[in-house]
Amino acid sequence: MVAANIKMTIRNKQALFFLFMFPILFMVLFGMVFGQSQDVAKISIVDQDKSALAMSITKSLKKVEKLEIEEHDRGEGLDKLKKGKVDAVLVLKKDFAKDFPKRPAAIHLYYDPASTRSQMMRGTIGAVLGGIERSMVKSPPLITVKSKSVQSHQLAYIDFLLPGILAMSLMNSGLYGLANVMVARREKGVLRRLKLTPLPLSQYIGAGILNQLLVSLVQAALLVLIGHYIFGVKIVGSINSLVVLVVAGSLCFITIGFVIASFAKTSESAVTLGNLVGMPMMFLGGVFFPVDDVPNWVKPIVKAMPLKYLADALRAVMVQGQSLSSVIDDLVILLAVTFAAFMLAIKFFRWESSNR
Amino acid sequence: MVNSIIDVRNLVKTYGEVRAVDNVSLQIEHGEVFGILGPNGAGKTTILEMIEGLRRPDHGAIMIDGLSVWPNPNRIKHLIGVQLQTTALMDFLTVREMVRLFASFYGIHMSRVKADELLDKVALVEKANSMINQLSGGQQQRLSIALALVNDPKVLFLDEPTTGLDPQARRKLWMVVEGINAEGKTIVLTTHYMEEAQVLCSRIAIMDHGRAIALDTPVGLINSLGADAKITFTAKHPLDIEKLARTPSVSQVSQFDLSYSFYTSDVQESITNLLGLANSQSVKIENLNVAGANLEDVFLHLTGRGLRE
Ligand SMILES: Nc1ncnc2c1ncn2[C@@H]1O[C@H](COP(=O)(O)OP(=O)(O)OP(=O)(O)O)[C@@H](O)[C@H]1O
Ligand SMILES: [Mg+2]
Repeated sequence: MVAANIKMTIRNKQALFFLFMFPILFMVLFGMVFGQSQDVAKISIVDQDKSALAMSITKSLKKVEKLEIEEHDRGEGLDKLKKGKVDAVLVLKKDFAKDFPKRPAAIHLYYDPASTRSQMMRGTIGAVLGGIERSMVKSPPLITVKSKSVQSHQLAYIDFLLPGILAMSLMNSGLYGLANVMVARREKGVLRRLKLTPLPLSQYIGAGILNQLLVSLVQAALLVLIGHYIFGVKIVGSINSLVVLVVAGSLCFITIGFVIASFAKTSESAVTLGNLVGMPMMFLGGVFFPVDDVPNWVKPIVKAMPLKYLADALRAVMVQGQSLSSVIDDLVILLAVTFAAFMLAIKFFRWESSNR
Repeated sequence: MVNSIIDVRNLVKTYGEVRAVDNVSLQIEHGEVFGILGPNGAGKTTILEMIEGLRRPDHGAIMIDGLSVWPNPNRIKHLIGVQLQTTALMDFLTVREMVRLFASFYGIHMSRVKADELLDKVALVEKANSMINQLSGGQQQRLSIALALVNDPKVLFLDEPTTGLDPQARRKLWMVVEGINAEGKTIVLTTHYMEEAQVLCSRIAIMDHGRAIALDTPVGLINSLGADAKITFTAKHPLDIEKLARTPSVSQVSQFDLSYSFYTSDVQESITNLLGLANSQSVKIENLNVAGANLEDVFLHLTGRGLRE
């Protein structure tokens, strides 16, 4: 059954084309639209303090490559931020570091939540300032910023995008791939014919899942290779951890696809149900932009999305080089969802489209 | 009836108001080609699929080779091979791959050679490497018969195997069925073609509205009409055939406008009488036709309707 499944998949040239082209097209498209001129971030600094410390912060920020620093007064800076001329505004208020280092210096960072770039800038600047602070605590008079601590390669949108697209394509092939085949086969009566043979349900479904898993792995490998060689995404994480995540994520969505296949009566309703589940996740699951700062009422929705956990975990491992143990929470949630979906699918799976 | 391979007792299946199968009992013997003949909606598929274990009967008992089909149809899966009324298969596999795949469902590892031997039985070897979706209707039917045979079953069920096929493809399939039967397999088939039932079947159950209204050999069924032939003719003017109808050899006289028909067990006597009547009433007879009685006539006799209307 497994071998036959693979043959069928490979011979279905048209489906195969879409299976692999879709995520790649997405990648290329978004990469081109958002990927350019991302290297340099513009930051406006408003220095109302003019103390030695404030000036040294400005100076050290200017030294960071990929950051372009302008100095304005407060109104001017915020105005530029609103117009999108700068990505963030740093305000060093008068006496901002009066008791430094006894109390932390209060630096105000303004960013535009509507802008993806600006959102990402926030994290970056946090990291830069963290670096400055650390170096200051060590040797107070001297402020140096090591470019290493800046992790400047994280700036590019494409680095953010690749794990997201990867998560999304795993979701899509999971939700639509197997579910559609199953429902179509049920509609045509193929499953009814199989029911006459002694083949156990578990084996049939297992073979389907395995086949889909292989497809997803190939898809993932292609995406990562293209991301790396064409878009220059640096893959810093371990490949083994990546494979573990891809398999876990893929399994999760394949089983959700099975639940859909169990409930959908026709191929059309399978697609509709798939969209119902997939679309919100595509936009709120952290594929194209970070979702840490969505409005409060959206937060529970985002929290309920398996895609978010997969995207987060992939991102952490792929481009931030974190270990599996640091994303264990995400992994556990994915596995829990998989288990729950599996129980549902077993309970509601039907061989026939109508009762006889 | 000690040895019936299939024993069906008082089978009932209702769908809402419809009694799809209405208290049917059948015994099918080893090595038979058993036909279920009936018009659309007679309940042929329903009864077959209950025997196969695909539909659960409301009442009644079904035994195959001494095993009860219900409540656990898994027990008889290895005994039977099934061709459903609508053949549906996965795309993107070749004929040979499909056969071997189905064999694997039964835990059988079938070699290429064995697969081709099986395909030879259904006259499909030359298509072994063709893709499923490139087969003609008749070829697909024969493939699905091959798939029904992968587990070397004792009983083969064929649900309208020739519906929608052209006469040539139909004849080819008949030969396949005869070949399989010659190997000793019991075959149960449904059809609404009376010639098919007549050619292939050792015994036939005629079904209408969920009931088995007759069960016998083809010859027995036709003999039950008590007539050798059916005579039809048209007349130029109305003809009074009252006298003819009263002769013992004549039965089932019917008249529609100026078209007449009746059955007779003595063709010579009836023709002579008919021509005598026509002459004496000075009515000209046209389109005189004498045809041997067939199963269509049996059905007509039993229900007052044709098999296909
Ligand atoms: N799943 C079902 N739900 C409701 N009614 C059904 C169902 N299956 C069959 N019937 C009804 O039961 C009756 C018998 O149907 P069945 O399919 O057994 O007839 P058939 O003799 O096989 O006809 P055909 O020659 O068209 O295949 C019909 O009136 C049909 O409408
Ligand atoms: Mg039928």
